[in-house]
Amino acid sequence: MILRLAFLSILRRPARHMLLLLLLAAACALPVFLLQMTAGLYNGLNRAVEPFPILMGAKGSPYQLVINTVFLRDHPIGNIPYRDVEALRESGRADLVIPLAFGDNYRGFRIVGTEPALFEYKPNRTRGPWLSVAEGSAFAAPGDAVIGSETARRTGLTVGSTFRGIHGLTNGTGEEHGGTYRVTGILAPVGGPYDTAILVSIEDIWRAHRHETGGQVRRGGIVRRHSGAAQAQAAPAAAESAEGVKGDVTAVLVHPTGYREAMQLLQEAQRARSSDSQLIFPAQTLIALYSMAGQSREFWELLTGGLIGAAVLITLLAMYWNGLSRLSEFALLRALGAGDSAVLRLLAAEQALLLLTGAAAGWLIGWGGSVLAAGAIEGRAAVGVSHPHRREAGPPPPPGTWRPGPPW
Amino acid sequence: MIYGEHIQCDFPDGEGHHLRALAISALTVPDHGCCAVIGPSGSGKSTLFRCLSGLLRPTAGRILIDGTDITALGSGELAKWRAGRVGFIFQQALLLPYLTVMENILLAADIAGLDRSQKRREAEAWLARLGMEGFGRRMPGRLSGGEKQRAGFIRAILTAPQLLLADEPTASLDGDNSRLLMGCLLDYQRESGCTLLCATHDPAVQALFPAQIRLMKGALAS
Ligand SMILES: Nc1ncnc2c1ncn2[C@@H]1O[C@H](COP(=O)(O)OP(=O)(O)O)[C@@H](O)[C@H]1O
Ligand SMILES: [Mg+2]
Repeated sequence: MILRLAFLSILRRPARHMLLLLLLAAACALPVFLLQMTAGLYNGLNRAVEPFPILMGAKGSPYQLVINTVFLRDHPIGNIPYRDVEALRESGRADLVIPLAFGDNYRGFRIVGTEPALFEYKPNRTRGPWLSVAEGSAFAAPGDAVIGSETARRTGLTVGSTFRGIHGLTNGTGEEHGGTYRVTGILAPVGGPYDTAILVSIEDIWRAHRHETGGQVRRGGIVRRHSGAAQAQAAPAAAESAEGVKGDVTAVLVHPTGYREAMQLLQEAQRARSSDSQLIFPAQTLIALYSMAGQSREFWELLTGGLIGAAVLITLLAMYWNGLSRLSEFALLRALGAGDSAVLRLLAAEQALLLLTGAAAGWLIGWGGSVLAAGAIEGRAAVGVSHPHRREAGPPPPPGTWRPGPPW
Repeated sequence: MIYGEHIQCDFPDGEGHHLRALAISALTVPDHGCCAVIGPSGSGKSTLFRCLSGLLRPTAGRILIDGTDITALGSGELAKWRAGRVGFIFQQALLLPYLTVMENILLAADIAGLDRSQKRREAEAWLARLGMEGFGRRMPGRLSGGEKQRAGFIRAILTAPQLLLADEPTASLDGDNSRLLMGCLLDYQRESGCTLLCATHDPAVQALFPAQIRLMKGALAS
């Protein structure tokens, strides 16, 4: 009887309870939205860094190395010689060592020179390859390019299309290279920055820059030691003008065979003080970056906590107000024979119904909003705000998997 | 049989003092009594009804109804005693706006836990008898003042109360509706043999009752 009365009282007077419901929904939606968004953002960042257990690059800011290599933003620090790649391979402490060379773009999408082994690379043994060609095939011949799913979607390039790379990292600046690429494959979406990449053979990068420099000035050599606007724009140049000789690389992706080997690699890199390169654990760098961004996680959690507190207060106030407005009704029920406990139960049932409906609506709005927002952000930003509920596989490893002292 | 002695009812007047709303040394209403309760506004008629129905516990004194000392009952026992025993009719019908007329009429019977389908049939019969056939499905907002008051009357009597308290039931009705309602009330009292107390200002209504209780500033006046 009581439940029915409570239900009818809400159902048949929707306008009367609309304000309360809206208030409840808004109070619930906001924290849910914020929690989902921050969780999604951190999840996206952590996920982006997962395929890069160890990075080697030119000496300089480790943040810049991570931001450039992992997130495809900012400029590279400089280059390191290919012999560093070979040294890592010969160390026997890594099961995968892949060079990466940056410096060119097509309509703002970064052209990344690399080796085909990247397509077989499985950062996590329980999952398939990180970058797999969904359509077409990997690059084989000079001038072949494999593009990320976002690159394909936004440039309209398809398998078989050709495009000309531009020297520099941003669209519109720099002169066109002679190098023309042909799309041979499109990557399956990875939900990260590499969706906006263009992968080509590192040989093509070397070749393009060899033509440009004409073998007279080793711009790569300059870039290697200094950083500045002009040099940062420079792509790795060939060490020698002759074909078939290895050029410089911007970064090296290293997958250590194990934790001990990772530590050894780090120690060796730290010992070789004279070297022009640095070896970093990007997950660690990311943690440092989080704390550098003003303890932003704590800030968001604090803000969300405050919002939840405000939501609870608003809810209590609204319920108190709703209860007050029903006093005459409760007096009537008492006069009709209802006991105090029955009246209290009616009030509680009604408030609980309102609370449940409002909270459910708010949760849905907040959750749906965060899914929509994540989609919108992913469409524009290089760093995907991967929504936790859209993750294909298990959670990413916590960003503290590697726990040596800071490598910088 | 209603028997009261030394009934006092005080309300805080907001200035730290007490306002004595009721001070009755002795009150007797016989079984099947049919009484008008008269007195100027503020003389304590409503307060007396609230005390007799157990809604309000008097500050002092005893009230015995059919042998039960209701001033000695706990609030839970009081609610149980009240449900189904006391019928209330107010100046305004006070129908819940989110229930249909029928749901409103069945409310007191529902609270008392009476058989719903049987009470529904009785309610239909009463609606028909009062010229409101088929009104059960309507919402109260679409009823006239007289119709609402008649619905309130059916709600009060559907539990077959032994004590029927009508607190100025005709105060907001016109002459025709007032006569119709009073006719129902008195007919019902005769048919059921319940005790009926009816507070009223209206001399025409007072004249319908064989006995009168006259209140003056909370006390019985002769
Ligand atoms: N709940 C209350 N709080 C304070 N004063 C009250 C309350 N109920 C009634 N009174 C006072 O008690 C007196 C009697 O009121 P009431 O019984 O309603 O009179 P009547 O019904 O005869 O008009 C009035 O002076 C009124 O102000
Ligand atoms: Mg009154």
